[in-house]
Amino acid sequence: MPSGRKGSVPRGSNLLQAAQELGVELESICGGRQTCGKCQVIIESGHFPKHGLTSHPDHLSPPSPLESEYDQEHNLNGRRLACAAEILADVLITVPEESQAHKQIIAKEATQRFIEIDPAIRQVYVEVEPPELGDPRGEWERIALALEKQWSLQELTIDSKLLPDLQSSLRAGDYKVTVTLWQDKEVVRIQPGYSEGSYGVAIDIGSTTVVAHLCDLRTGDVLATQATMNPQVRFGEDLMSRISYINSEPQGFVRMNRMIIKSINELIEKATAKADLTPQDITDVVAVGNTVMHHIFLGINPTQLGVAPFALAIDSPIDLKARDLGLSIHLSGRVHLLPIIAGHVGADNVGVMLAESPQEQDEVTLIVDVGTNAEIILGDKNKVYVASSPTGPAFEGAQITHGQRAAPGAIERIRIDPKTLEPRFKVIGYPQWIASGSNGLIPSEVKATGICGSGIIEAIAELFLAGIIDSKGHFLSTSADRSSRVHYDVGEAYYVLVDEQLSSTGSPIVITQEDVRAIQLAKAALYAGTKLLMDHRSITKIDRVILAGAFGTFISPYHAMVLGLIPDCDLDKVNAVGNAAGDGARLALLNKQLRLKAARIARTVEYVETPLATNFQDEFVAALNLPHASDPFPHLDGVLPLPTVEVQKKRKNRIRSKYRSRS
Amino acid sequence: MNDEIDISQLETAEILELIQDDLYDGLADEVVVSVKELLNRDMTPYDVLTQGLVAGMAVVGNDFRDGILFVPEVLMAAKAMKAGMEILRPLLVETGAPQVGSMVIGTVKGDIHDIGKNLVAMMMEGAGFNVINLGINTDADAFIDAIREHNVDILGMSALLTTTMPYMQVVIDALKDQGLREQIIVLVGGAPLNEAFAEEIGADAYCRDAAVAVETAKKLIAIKRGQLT
Amino acid sequence: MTTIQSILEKSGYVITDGAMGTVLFSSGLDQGDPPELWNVDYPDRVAAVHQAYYDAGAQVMLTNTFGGNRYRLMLHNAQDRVAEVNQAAAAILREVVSKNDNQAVVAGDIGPSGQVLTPYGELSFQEAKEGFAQQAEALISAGVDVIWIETMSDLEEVRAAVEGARQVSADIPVVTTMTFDTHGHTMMGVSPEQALETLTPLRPLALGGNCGNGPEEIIEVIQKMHAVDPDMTLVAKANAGIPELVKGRPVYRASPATMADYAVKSYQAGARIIGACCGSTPDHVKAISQALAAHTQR
Repeated sequence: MPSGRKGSVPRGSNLLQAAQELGVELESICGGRQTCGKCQVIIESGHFPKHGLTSHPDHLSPPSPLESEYDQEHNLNGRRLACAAEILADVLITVPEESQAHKQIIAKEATQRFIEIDPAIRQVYVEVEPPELGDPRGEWERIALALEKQWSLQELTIDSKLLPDLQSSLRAGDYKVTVTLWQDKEVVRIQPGYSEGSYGVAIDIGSTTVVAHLCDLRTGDVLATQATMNPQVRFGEDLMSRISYINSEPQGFVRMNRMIIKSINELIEKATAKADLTPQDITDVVAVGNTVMHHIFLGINPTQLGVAPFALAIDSPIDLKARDLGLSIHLSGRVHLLPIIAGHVGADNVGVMLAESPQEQDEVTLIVDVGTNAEIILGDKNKVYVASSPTGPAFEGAQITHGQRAAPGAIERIRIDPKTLEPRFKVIGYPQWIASGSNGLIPSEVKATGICGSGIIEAIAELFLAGIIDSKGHFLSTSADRSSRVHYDVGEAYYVLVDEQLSSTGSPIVITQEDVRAIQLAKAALYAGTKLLMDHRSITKIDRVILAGAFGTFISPYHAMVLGLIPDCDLDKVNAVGNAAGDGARLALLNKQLRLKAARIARTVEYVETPLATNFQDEFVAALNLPHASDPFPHLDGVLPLPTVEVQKKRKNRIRSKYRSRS
Repeated sequence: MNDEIDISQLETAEILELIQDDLYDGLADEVVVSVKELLNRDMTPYDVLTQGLVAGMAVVGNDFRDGILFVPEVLMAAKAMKAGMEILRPLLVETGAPQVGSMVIGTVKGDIHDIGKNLVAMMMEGAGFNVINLGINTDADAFIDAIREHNVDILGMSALLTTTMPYMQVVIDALKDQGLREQIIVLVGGAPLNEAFAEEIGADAYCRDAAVAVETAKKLIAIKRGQLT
Repeated sequence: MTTIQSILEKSGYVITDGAMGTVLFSSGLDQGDPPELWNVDYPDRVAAVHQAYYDAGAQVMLTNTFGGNRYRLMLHNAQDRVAEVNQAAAAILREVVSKNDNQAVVAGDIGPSGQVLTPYGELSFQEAKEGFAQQAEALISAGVDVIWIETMSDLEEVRAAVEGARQVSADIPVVTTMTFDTHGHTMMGVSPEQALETLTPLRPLALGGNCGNGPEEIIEVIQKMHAVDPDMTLVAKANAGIPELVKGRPVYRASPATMADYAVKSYQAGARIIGACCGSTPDHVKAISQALAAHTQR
């Protein structure tokens, strides 16, 4: 990106220094010692009337011996090391992207995001004065002095665990070492010679899934992502049952804490192995999770979070040494946890807010983090509100007859033809849509096993659009007349989605009246929570909606709106973003300013207690309807079935109609 | 309509279906004809009751709950059921059909709604209970007199207004005062009620519809008689 | 003279009052006791409620005679007091309105008989009509401007009430509303569309829905009726929420703000006579009044 910086400097000035003075940020790890090669620049050749100068590579001093050495080893390809060059005449310099400090990159992995790289960890290269007789200063003190002189770093401390190897490192590097600093305050690693590479891990500790992203802290690249099921699930699918377990089992808490730490250590091992690194190369970790996960991870018994007033031990962000938690990364490595908002809205939501930044927009943003305990974030640059709404596990497949978690074999997409009522669906792990006639064409190992969250949402919405259920969620007896897939009888009704030949279990996969009800209850709780937040802020219109949550990536915005999971909004501005909490952790890992920002966000966001609000009940009941009893959905105009003037027909008199037709 | 079908030509299973559907359509005379035919074929009165009338009423109850049938249809169905019961009742006593228990039922004072209560009374009768129906607007004294006179196992109270529900508490308190509470099972029902309310006033159970009332009554009686723990 | 039509011409909509019975509970009325007898026993307390609604912005108010027909009064052994109770009620309301410069309309409230009409029940059409005529006689003789027949479930019963009223006065304006609380229909299976189609030939001044399961339900009723006949003047009088049992007593949870919201939505759906029913208080009516004023000024 052209910075357009221009200036006049005295002849003979160092190019790197000149650039820095002009405000052009060039990378430099070795502090100008022509060793790291990061400050490479391109010298333009020719006459540039726009800038009023003529530039030529000769206008810089010839390459120094060190620079030439670097060129031989690494091939500069015509570029110059800015730290090695002196300016002799006019030059036009192009700074390639790789050489920019604090560069803007687009991180590749689940989501594209623009991140400015400014991690808490950085490496600097120093040359240290060796000890001499008569000079009694300690070797650490010498390093500190070198850091002060060469990098202007003052009042540094050193992690005590580095002391045993300090002297051997110095000698191995011939008194030239690469020092890794944390927050420019403490030295956390000393490596002999010039060594490059600082790495960190961003962890999202979800109730159900734990995800770790291994990042290069210098480039911002995600080198590996590793996920695993949270091992605590066996003690309870939801958080309250885990807390109950802790309260009832004497060793319950210790067990849970150890398990999650072990799991995370394994994730880090696998992720680093993928990138040809070891856990000891990790010097920084940022973790997010809901309040219960947060506390257990920190070794704090979460019992108080199970009863009103749901008191947290700590809600501020916290910095710790990894070894204090039992995390196996570099011995002196650090861990940072993002702050928490009120008793139930965890660091993961702060992560979401870092990633999506509703507090900076003019537009009103609604972020819904769909999960067992859905979190709702609503606001704009004036104020942001957050609430949690107890939706229950229906969206993750629990309470649904054939519900299951997302895994290969689970149905994640569904379409129902509104005329024939015939279904088509897509199964995780198989690229093609499957319809009832496709029996012979599907490999047996991809037969449907059940329906996962996104599939259920599409199913209910499609049943509604096809006129099989009405806006109250009731199966219509008239739909049983239209297709044999719909069964309607005393006390039970269901729709056959998958015939037995296409089902892995050999029996049909159905969607029952109870399933519809379960989803209605869950989505009504979510919508009511959103409505209350909207009322709180006197908002009647939402400009954009973000559906987040590991489960959120796959939700179809259209179906979510038909269901009435979210309020009316321009469908083009409804997006599913996947794991925003994990992205937020990654942002905070790569940019330490965002940690401060997170702390500010946590303080300024206002938490609204929803079920206590007196009209939660009314809103909840109104929200049971599809999409809603009275709220208008202009963006779904022409899509929704007409308000059913469905006259539910009385049953036929079986014997009399049979005999009547005979005579 | 009767001339359309010669029921003597129908299978027994078909006649049972016919009773259910005619009940649903409120065809009292036709129901009576079918009931008589089945009795002629030596089906026990109890089987005619349960497999014909009660089964038909269950569908009526279900469709009423789902908004397919409304009060008028339910009332006509109840009339058809009553017509069938007129035939069966004396025969049930005669053939010693299991007497499951006895019950006094009424809508509380100040309340005039009786459809639900009558449905419960009928289903209970259908299930083999002896039912004394006190009607609407019943005060505590009337309930207690009836309980004493008939020595019943169960008291059923119904209310459809939130303003009259509290009177159930008055009746239960009167039962306690007179030392009758322990020996009787108290069931309550009505649209505005719920489990919490039943607990609060000291009733034994809240029954949300006639079918639940029958099941609850049977269960609690069995417990009371030591047959179930 | 202030009439419903004159108010409609002036501002385009009319505000009615809210609940009487549930408000009287807080003045000492016992659960299960008939509010109608207070017209004779505690007329001041009844008048106070009317005044409070007037102050809150009500332009049409209903007499305290919802259960004032002989069949309902029979439950409290007062079936012989129909004339006494209804006349007293009308007089009380007329006096309150006079004191306030006659800026409101006096509506004679006629509620259901509480019985089911033949052939499903025991009460004959003729008997029902006579009972309603008796009540209408008392109300009209004491000076009501409009006969207001509400909370009905049965079309035949509405007809009985309208004919009963017209028997007393051939041209007294009549407003009638039904309660659609059972799967979008009345208890007797009448849909909003059916109600509008069947009752229009009886030439009511306005018709609509009242009571039931809360504001959302009423809005749907208005939408359906408006779709059938956009020209009919529609009435919306919703309960202040769905009643919840708190210690055996019904509590209506909707806040004034919720009712204000419902009022605007009802108006948007096509209602032009708007008020509240069970569980509401003057505060709710005030919120409704203010919300509609603000909404229609835009």
